[in-house]
Amino acid sequence: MGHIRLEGVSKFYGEVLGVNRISTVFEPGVTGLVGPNGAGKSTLLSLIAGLVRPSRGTLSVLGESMDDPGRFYRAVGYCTQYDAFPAGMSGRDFMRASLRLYGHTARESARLAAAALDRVGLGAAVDRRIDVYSKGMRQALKLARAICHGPRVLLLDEPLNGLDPQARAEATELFREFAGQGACVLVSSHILHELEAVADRVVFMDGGYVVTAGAVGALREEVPAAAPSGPVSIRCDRPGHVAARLFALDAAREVRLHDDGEGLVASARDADALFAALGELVCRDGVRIDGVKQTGESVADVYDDLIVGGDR
Amino acid sequence: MSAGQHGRLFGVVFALEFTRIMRPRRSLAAYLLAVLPVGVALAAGRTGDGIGLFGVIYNVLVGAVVFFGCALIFTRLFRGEILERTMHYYLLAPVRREVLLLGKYAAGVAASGALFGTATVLSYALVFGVGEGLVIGTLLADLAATLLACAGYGSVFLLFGLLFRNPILPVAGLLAWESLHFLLPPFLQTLSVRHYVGALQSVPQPLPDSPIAILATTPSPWVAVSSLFALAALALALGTWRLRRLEIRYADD
Repeated sequence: MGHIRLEGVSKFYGEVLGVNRISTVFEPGVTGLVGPNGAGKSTLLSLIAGLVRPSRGTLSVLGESMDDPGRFYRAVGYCTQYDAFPAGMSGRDFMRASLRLYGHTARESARLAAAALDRVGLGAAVDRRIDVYSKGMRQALKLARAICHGPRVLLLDEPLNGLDPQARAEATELFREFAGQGACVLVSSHILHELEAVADRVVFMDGGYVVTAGAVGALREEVPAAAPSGPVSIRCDRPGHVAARLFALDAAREVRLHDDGEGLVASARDADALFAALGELVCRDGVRIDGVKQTGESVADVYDDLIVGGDR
Repeated sequence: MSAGQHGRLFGVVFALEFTRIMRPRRSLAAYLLAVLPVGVALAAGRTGDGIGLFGVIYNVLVGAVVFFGCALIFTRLFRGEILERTMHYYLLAPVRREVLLLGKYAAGVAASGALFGTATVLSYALVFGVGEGLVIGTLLADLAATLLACAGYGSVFLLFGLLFRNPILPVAGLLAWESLHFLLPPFLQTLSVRHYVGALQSVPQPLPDSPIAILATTPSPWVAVSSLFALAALALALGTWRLRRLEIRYADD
């Protein structure tokens, strides 16, 4: 049984479509929600969190009813897109107040608040007013609020926005940690390469619809066969010679030399023909190849193919 | 969840909201309103006609200070959080929405009662003098009338904050209704907070000299208290109905 199950879920804001006819199951692990602005990612997360109600369809989260918030919201944590906090509070006050609403005693709330704030790297700023926090600190505080009660479903709307590289790495590690404990973690993001690093599964959304969903590698196979293979980065000596030979062998349709002069990026009509040509270059011409990396399976590439490419 | 757990969460919401409302930065206008009748009593000093002076001060206190003070405090309880985009923090907590509403309402009544009840007591003491003309019975009656006015107006303003994106217009409409209720037929006068509060206060209400004013029968104190509680219960029931259907879409608010 899936942790989150949606069957024919639609949400309309008057005449405006939020999401339409979404049927999917989110299992434990990290699932990335990817799509351009207005794709319906935030609406989908808000539907799952019970902040908005579906216009049509049914939705189940861990089998809990949203009519019993006492159970439901102990299981669900939601880091929303809204960058706002109650005025005049410090990070510590905010977290303590939040945890008191979970029924914890003042002492227990203080302990859990300190743990959550430490976990997101805000330990040194807990007594400063939130009004003077940077965007990254506010984002971290929202994350602390979402995880402080140990939810089994963690919904994260653009959680990496505003975080510095180290904080992003720590946050993604945190997502993996929750997933490792059996939680269902849904992360929406525009930072595609970071999502790729953390997500087990990716759901592509556009215009309120789920375009496709699955593991990144499997999604690549869903891209139409006529689509060209992604670019291949080749680290080698004599890149100019390699480029000339690839064109001569009709194994590449586009080549770009690396700025450092120690390799090139080739876009192939047929990946198999390209790799065959590289083998020939090594054997016959004595070209030294230090590394080959196919970049065509990144989330970004799939996203471009499925969504951006669809607009072209 | 058990009733005890709901009760504890009610207490948490109450404490959080009461602390928040009583912050001078948030409720500066309500503080200034509460100081107003005390300042008038202080400026007027003790006069020969203490009853007449306190009557004027008290009627202004209930008719304007409590009215506007409660409007400031109670309409913000929900509408303020929606405008500040912080409402979702409460809705994502494991607290039933009716418990949230009751906790916020009780905090509003306690805070407005503390502000305007203190203003009532201080005005009374300044006009009559401590230990001299002070009559505890009438003071308690006026204090109770103030607190019930806070509870009655507060419930209506809380509902306005949930129902309307801009509660100023309905507040203005209620002000007109409350101010001109003496012109209405007796039955319609009973649909007014001021009608019942007036029955509880020790000082007489100012009766307009207009020949078109209609005198309604003054209800007994028990009827007045019961009616104000009934009004609050009805407003809170409607507020709960609205809150249970509330969706967080700040862009539309």
